[in-house]
Amino acid sequence: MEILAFEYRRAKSIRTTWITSLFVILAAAAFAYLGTFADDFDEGLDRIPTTDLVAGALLGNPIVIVLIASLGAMAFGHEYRYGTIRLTLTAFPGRVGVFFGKLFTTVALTLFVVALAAVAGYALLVLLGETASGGPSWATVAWQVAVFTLTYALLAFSLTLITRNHPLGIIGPLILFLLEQAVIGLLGARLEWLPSVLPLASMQSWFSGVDVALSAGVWAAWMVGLLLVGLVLLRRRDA
Amino acid sequence: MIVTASNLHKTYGRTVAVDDLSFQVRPGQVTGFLGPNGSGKSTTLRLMLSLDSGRGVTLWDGKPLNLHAQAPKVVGAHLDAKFFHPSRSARAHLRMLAAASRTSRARVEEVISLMGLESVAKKKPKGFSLGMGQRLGLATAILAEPEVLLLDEPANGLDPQSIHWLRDYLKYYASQGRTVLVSSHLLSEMEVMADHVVVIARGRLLADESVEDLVNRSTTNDVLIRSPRVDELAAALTEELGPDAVRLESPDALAVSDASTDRVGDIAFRHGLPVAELTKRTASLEQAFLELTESGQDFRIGGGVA
Repeated sequence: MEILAFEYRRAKSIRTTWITSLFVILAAAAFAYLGTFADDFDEGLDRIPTTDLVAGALLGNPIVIVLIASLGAMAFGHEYRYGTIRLTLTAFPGRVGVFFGKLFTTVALTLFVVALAAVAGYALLVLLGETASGGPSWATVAWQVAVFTLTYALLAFSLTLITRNHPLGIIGPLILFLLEQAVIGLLGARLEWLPSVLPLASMQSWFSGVDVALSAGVWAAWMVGLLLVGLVLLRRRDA
Repeated sequence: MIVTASNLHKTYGRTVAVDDLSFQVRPGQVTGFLGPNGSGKSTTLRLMLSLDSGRGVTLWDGKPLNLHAQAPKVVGAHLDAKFFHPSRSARAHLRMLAAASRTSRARVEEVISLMGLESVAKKKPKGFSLGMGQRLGLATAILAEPEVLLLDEPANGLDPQSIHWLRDYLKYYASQGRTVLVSSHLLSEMEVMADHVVVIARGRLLADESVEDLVNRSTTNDVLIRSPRVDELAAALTEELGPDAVRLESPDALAVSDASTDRVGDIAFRHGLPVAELTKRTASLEQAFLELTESGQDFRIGGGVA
C-alpha cells in the first residue's frame, strides 16, 4: 500500500496535476455551454439534450484529449525526465508493483477529474437554464466518457513508459487520433476491415453498438497490449 | 547489515563497464569506493540497487533488496544531486519519499533541520545550487534511517564546513553499527573518513582492504636519510639491506625502503657516519591509490587513451 501513498503524494505535490485537472474541468464546462449555441443558430431544431451536451464536451474533443493525455503521461514522464525514477525504484525495487501503483493512480485520477468535469459542465448548464431532456441516459454517458478518457490516459501512460519521452507521451495519443482518421479516410474504402482493427475506431464502433463484443475486444487488446509492452520494458531496461 | 555484491557484470555494447566484481561492505565502518573516472563506480552502485540490468546479485543481509518488506529501511541511496522534480518543494519531495516507508512528518522535519534546509524547504529546487541539491539528496538517503547508506560522490559541490559535517555524520552513522559505502574522488577526505576501501579500475576489483593496509603497501613508504657522506652511507646501507632498498633522493640524501628508521639509524651509527636528518615518510591514500590504479586507468590527463 506504500506505493499508493507514494503515488498520491507524487501526483498531489506538483502544480501540473492541479493545473491540468482544472483545465479539464474548465474545458468541459466551456464546451458544454458552447454546445448550446448549436441549436440557437438553427431555430428549427429542438434544444440539444443535456446529456448530449455534457458527453459532447468530453468525447472527441481534441483539447480534452491532450489534457487527459497530460494526466496519463505524468506518471512516468516526470520521473524519467527528472531522474526521480531512480529514487522511486530504489524505494520500491519490485517494478511490477510500481507499474500497477502508477496505473491505479492514473486511472483513479483520470476518472475523478473527468467526473468533476462532467459535474461542472452539467452544473453550468443548470445554472444557465440550458437543460433539455432526451438523448442518451446518464449511465450511457458515464461509461462512454469513462472509456474514452481512460483510453487516452492509458495511451499516454503506455507511450511515455515505452518511449521514456514525456512530450511524446502527451501528443502521441492526439497524433494517433489524427493518424487513424487519416488512414481510414485514405484506405477505409479499399480495406473495409481496417477500422475494426484500429484501437480508436474500435472504441467508436463499441460506442455506436456495432459488433460490440468484437469492438470492445479489439479496444481492450490494444490497451492491454500497449500496457504489457510498457511493463516488459520497465522490468528489463536500466532505470 | 552486511552487503554482499557477487559477480556484478555490466556491458554497454562491446564495452565492459563492470567486470565480475565481487566485494562485501561491512557494518560499523565507512567503506570508501574508489576508482578513476569511468572505472564503473556509479554503474556498480546502480547494479547493486538493481536500477541497471546486468549479471550478478547483491544481497542485503543475505536477501535481494526486493525481498525485504521495506527497501527504504534497508538502503538509502544518493546517486545524483539533481534527482528531483524542479517544481516540487524540498519538503514535498521528502514527504513523498517518506510515504514510501511510512516515515513520520516529524522525521521529515528533523532531516530538514539536520541538513540545514529549513530556509529552502518551501522552495522549488530548480534554483538550488549543487551544494543544496547534494543536501537534499543526502536528506533523501537518510530519511528512513536505513541500515545501509550508498552515496555517490556526496561531497561534490559542498563547502568545506559541509564536507567536515558530512565526514563526522557518516562516521557517526557507521558507529551506530550501520553500513556506509561512499564513492568519492576526494581522496584526502576519504583518507580521514573511510576505514576500509574498495578500489576498482576498468570495472575490476583492485583492492578490498583497510585504508591502513592499502597505504602501508605503497612503495612510497620509506625512510629519508640525509648525510654529508652520502656515498659511504649508500654503500653501508646497500651492503646490509640490498641494492633495491636504497635510492639516491638528492645529492646529500637517500631514500631507503623496507626498513625502519631505527634500523637505518643503527646502520649509520655502526659505520660511524654522521646523520643530518632521519625521517619516516608515509604514503598518503592518494599516492597508494595512484600507484594501484596506474595500470588500470582508461583515460589519463595528458596521457591520451591508455
